[in-house]
Amino acid sequence: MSTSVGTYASTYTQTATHLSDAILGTFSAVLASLGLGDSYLARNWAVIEDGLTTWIEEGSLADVRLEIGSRSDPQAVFDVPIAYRTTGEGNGEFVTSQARIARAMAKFESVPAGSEYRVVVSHRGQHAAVSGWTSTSAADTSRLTSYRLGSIAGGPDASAAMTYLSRRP
Amino acid sequence: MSVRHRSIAGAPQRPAGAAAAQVSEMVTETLTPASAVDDTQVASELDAALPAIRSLIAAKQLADDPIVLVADPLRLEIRVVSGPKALGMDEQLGKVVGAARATDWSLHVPAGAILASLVTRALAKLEHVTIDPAPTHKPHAAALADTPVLDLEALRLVGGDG
Repeated sequence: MSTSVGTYASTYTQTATHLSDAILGTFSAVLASLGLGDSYLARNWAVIEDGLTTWIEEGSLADVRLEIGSRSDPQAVFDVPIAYRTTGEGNGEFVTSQARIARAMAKFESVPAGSEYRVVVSHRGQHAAVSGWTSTSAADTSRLTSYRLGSIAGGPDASAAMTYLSRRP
Repeated sequence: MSVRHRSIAGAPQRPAGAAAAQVSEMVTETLTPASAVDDTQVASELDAALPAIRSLIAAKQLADDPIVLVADPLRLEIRVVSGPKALGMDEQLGKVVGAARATDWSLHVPAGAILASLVTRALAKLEHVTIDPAPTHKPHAAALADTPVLDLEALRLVGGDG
């Protein structure tokens, strides 16, 4: 069967798909780098993908976090804030920065084997309800030191960068 | 061995989950005509491998290094393209012909440098889906390197020479 991929989707949808993919790919790589299993991510992938895509497309997603360890005293947190552009402001390209993240991984502090982790989001303003997500509070990062790792992906309407919060002083 | 290539559009056209499903569907449909191949086992192993394939797609690891299905006499190389190239590209999805006579199959998934531990763990217990590289394909011409391209003796006979 021959199929030509259409370009009917708006750039909002495409940007949302592009950033969601880049975020999930980056989280997968972070987990692999830390030697943690991906069963949580694999089990919840569709729910996370659906939530990120929906909320980026409507412009309500403020940030996504991969929290490792307990909520009260996490081992590490990977924070991905989303920056939205006014239409026409962006350069119209879909880019990712896998190489930058790959280089940064060499500097991640190790975490105990089998550490639990979860994906947490925060919103700005009203947002659509997405099945599978529940209310929670974010982990306490007051004792962690943050390191900006830079952009992980960008599209015409939004971009995503990553900050690494570690126990390393 | 017949070598076929397919490219599937990933993000921003299609999320990793949907692109991984297309890869799985393509492999399943390609192997279906092979009566000697156990369809149930194909489905079971692809199911188990799907999360790793999805992560590889999201991490953009399948654009250059393809997943390779070896089902002699067919070798199928599947890439997942992302970024601007994924928009408006021509795709040939679904079944690829050529595997009907296959008696065995293997799916070679590149571990991807940044996901190696995750992919290795995910595929460790599978019999047919592996991180081992696919056997190097030898083009037909190279395989016949020791054989003259023209049978000069036959030509002489046809021409009545001798």
